[in-house]
Amino acid sequence: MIKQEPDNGQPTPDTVSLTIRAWRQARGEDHGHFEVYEVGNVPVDASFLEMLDILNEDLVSRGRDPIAFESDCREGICGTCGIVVDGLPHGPGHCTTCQLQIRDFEDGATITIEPFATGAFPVIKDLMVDRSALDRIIQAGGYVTVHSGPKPDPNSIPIEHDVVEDALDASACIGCGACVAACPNGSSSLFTSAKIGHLGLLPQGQPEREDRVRKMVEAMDEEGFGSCRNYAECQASCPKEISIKYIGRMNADYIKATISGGDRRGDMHAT
Amino acid sequence: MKRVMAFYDTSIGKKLVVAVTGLVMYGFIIGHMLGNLKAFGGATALDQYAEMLREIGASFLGNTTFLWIARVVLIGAVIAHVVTIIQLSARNRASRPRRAIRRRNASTLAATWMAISGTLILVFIVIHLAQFTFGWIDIHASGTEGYEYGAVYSNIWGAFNVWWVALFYVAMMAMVCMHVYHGAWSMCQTLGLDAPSRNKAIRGGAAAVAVLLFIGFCSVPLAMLTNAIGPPPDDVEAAEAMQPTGQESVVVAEGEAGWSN
Repeated sequence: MIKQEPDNGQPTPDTVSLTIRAWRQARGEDHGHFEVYEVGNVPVDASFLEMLDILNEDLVSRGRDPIAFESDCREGICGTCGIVVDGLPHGPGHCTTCQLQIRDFEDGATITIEPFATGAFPVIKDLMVDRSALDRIIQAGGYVTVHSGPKPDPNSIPIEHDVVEDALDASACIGCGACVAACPNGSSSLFTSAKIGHLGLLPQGQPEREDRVRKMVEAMDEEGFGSCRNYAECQASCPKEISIKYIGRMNADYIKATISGGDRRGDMHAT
Repeated sequence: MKRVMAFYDTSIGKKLVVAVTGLVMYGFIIGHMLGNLKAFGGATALDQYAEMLREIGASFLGNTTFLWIARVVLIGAVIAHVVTIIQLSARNRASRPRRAIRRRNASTLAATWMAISGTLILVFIVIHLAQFTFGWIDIHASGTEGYEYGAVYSNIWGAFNVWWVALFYVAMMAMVCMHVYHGAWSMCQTLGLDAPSRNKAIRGGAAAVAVLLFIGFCSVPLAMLTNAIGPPPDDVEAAEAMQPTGQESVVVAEGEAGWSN
């Protein structure tokens, strides 16, 4: 449904009208259904979530239940928003849902919106899902030993440039859960591996490295996420373009941690 | 032991089992394909190769002992592979995305067909063993010899001259090659060998091996169906007896010359 290149000579309209096919599921209900809404006079400069705000204001003014959805920063950095738009987590924009713009859609388009619902992400209401399973994976990772004395000298721990870049790429994960929603198996492997990767790659993350990978992988399974079958759908849907290479790294790290079974605390060498 | 069981209980542990058992079977089918090419060396070459497989390590283990060790390892690998996949699939079903009209973006056909191709391969293995190892299924073209234990070339010649048997084999080999294309790459990912710098090489290597396997496996039935390689000598034992005197049929001699290069 994404808009093609504008036709030459055609004046761009200031507003568009859209048909929204939205998933409605009341709190505590097991089954939801689609409802179709017409939303007119949407400024082309509006963002996708602003369009939903306009639709909700209209619904409220007519005494109807607004569509529940989550958002916070609306800058693409917090990971709170997340809607399946036309079958794609976060929609067709390779960005978070909040960064999706109405100008990317044709006037008169029908847009289907659904929650990020999977086995481990139960629906709270309409488009809101409970993603606290991801928080519990983070919690299972425990702590990172940090130097708590005076500020260390800059560059007192030399780290190779490539390693820093890899760690930073992994740390770009905002925990939005698009990878889980995109995965045909509802696996959180990309999320977990990014979190394991960004700490495990840096020297500061070494002391608890093996303990952390074991606990986070086990927590991931306990939360009921599926397993990775290397479809690579997660990578294609990640608004932060995190690579599935971190999943390979997590697998190797987990296997190593299981074989050694040791405790690396006190060992500050990145490998 | 407790740690091993805890490891096997995690999805990554299970995936490792799938990867390692897959690797065992991958090694086997590459060897199998290369062995099949002996058919181009003629009936004697193929039958002697088959006999050689039975005799590996015969001097210190006894005849067929090594073969049975290999068979037990392979049967174990198949069982572990399938059982673990069934366990993983049950978890995956429970976690599958609800609703959401899926639009596949990144998955290859090979990846989405893993369960289909895997199930077909399992059925195929049973048929294949029943046909050529045990001889329970004896389909052969009219005018060719039926199944006879040890007469490998004659057995496959009779079967592959039935066009739909040859076609069935080609179709099943397409399944095998699709399965091992995704499987080989996926195995590298599971074992953590994959990296962006190596990804292209691993994907390319997996594709190249899959294509070579397909060509190698299909060449024998297609060559037999199109008479590109000749029928077996009327009597295999007689042909073997004739061999030392150098009075082989022209077809066999040509084939052997080609193979020895």
